[in-house]
Amino acid sequence: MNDTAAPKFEPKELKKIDTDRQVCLIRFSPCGQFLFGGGYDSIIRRWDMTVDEPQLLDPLVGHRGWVQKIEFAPQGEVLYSVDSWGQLCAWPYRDEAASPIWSVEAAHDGWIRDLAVSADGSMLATAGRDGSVRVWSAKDGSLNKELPQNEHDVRAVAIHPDGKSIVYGDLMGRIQHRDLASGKLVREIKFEKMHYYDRIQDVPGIYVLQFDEKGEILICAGGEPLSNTNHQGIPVLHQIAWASLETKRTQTFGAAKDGHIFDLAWHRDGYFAAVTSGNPGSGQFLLVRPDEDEPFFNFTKLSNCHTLALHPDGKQVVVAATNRNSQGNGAVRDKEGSYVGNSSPLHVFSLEAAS
Amino acid sequence: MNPQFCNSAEHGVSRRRVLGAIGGTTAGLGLGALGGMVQPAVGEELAKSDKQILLLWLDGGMSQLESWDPKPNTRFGGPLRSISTSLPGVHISELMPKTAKLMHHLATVRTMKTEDANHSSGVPKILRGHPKNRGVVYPFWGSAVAKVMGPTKSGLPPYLWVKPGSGGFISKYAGFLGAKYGALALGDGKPPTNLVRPETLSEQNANERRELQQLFNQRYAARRRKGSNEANSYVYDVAEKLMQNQKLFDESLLPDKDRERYGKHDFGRHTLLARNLIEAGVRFVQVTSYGWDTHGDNFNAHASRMPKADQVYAALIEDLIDRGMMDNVLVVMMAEFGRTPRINGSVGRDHWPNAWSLSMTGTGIKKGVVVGETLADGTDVKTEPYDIGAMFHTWYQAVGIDSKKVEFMNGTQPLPIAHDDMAPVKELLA
Repeated sequence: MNDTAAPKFEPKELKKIDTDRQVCLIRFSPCGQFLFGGGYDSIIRRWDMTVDEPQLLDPLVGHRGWVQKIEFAPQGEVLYSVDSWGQLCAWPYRDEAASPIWSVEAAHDGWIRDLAVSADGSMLATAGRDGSVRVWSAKDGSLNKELPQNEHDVRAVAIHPDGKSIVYGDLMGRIQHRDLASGKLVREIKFEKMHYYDRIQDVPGIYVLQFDEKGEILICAGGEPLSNTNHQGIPVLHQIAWASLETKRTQTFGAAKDGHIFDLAWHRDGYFAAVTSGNPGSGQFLLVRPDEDEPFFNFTKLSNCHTLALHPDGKQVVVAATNRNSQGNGAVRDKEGSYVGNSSPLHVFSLEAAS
Repeated sequence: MNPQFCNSAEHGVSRRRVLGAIGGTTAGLGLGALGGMVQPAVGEELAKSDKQILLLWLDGGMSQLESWDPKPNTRFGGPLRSISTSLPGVHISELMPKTAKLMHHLATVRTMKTEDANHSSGVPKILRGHPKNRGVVYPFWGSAVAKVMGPTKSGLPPYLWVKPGSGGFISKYAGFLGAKYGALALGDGKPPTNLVRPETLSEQNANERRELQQLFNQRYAARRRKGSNEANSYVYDVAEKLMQNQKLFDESLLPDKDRERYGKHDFGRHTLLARNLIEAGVRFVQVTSYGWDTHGDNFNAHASRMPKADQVYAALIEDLIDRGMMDNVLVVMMAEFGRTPRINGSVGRDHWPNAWSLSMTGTGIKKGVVVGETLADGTDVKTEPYDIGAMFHTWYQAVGIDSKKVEFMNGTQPLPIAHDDMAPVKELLA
């Protein structure tokens, strides 16, 4: 991680792409041409981002639950996706009418929380609400390994760049480091504040686990939840030194209304971009240097930001927020009397410093 | 001073402390104690009834979409799946696998359509059965049952409320019936404090104190309104009855197997206590679980909460069946409303009185029915909507009360016990 040379600038919003549905996650394809969005409606939308007005192309259809995670093969044009009904799929993402290369319909019993791809592209790891962590062949979707069953919902998973270790974090704020070959527990660390229990409800705090490119730092991001009925919590990011598994630095971003860091991406210039969502209307788009307490850019004009996609060239980032006034009791209807749902407008920002 | 009637402070059980433990003052209990009769002949007949009611109240509003009326793979359906149940063709949320196996014992209503989308007005309106406005404050359901049916032959207080947090006597729930018919709340399932007779006070002394207290009460009553005295005496009767039944509250006496089946969380512990209270003869027990107001993170919230509610409900139903209590006990699980189909920016669902669900079983209820249908995306009812007033008629009928005939008497004013313009839902009645 380069934490000394990050430039400071104010991103400029270039355009907004309206959507008619809500998305869980957006990601750019490695080639940079396509933006993919996994939806609440089980569809993976794709936009061609190389034209002035991003063009919505035919979606990837085949999932049935929320498509909450998307990853790409480091080589080749393959997209991996998981859904909340337990399905794992591999897609040729450029094909106009793409159908899965392979699919595992019951990769987990229900909600798959996270998906990670090994640096060499050979393995996929999935973690689920069913408490299981599984390793799959990226080539054909065959099950390579099942890690020991966990008592709690496993919310995030990451594979170390060396391909020898796997880490995963659970509902209770516990992160386990296991040897990928043997499945043996090597070390663990627990962030007590990344779990909250109130009135028969466990509230999760871990949302993101990511290694930096060299595998020296493990990032654990999410929130320190403070309420069970509203999405209240303090957005938090822990930088964990991989060698010692000790927390090197903890950064918090905002107040209780700000909730949690939902998504995060490292920029090659040595800073990270993150988005938060908390109380209705509360959202932050943050650019933060890892060695500073305060973000050098904190954009709070977007409502409930759930995900972001960093373009491979590092010059653009897209933030998926939520339409204004997304909350409200009773039936909200439009002029025609139809029940009104919400959507995830996509905000495209330039990350280039003004010359 | 006669040592048998020494200063109460020496023994730690004073009149004031007992009253305090029950959570009110005599003055407070006396307020509003004027009204609330039932026609005497009817009242006497109902008092002989062995029917009881257990209400599981999910305060804040459980999501119908993550429980009784899932809409998987639709725009507003959320991330979770549905599962099949013991009723062919009927699916409920995957978060309720235990209850799914018992659906043939239950009656489910999927077309509740009520008026209030706010907790402050919705909770009392639902718990009062949405009576027609007649310028009086109607009692909550438990108070109404306490009045109409009275205690069972067990003599135990007719309306107990098991809840997290603090307890006390909640007289305001009685409305115009008068404070006596309020709820005795057992905070965290614990009985009122100071129930244990101090070792320094012999049983004989305690009885003598009781006799003296009754004498004082009679003199007190002679100078006061009947209702005030009724409430005043009632707290002593309650305290004494609970003193005689302290074992009911001793969790350590419960088999581990039961505690495992219900769950060691608050809702499980409290519902297990409620089962014991019902079994001991309490007429109406409400168990409240708080925190269902999932404006944020609705799906993780229900993923954590629903399995516990599922565990509790299934364990309770199995117990009532095993113990042969289904013929006597009406069980209802509900909240003040459901949750919006649309998912807000906090990944939550807001308040939704427009098309929500509730569940019931037990005495007088037809088993294995699902009443009503909502639209495919859950955004409204598709078949006949039901107000809570219709449910109150249904539930009164189920426990043997003719809700169209039995009336409260507020002084000389007869008042219907359920909404005049509504009627029982025949599909729900056995």
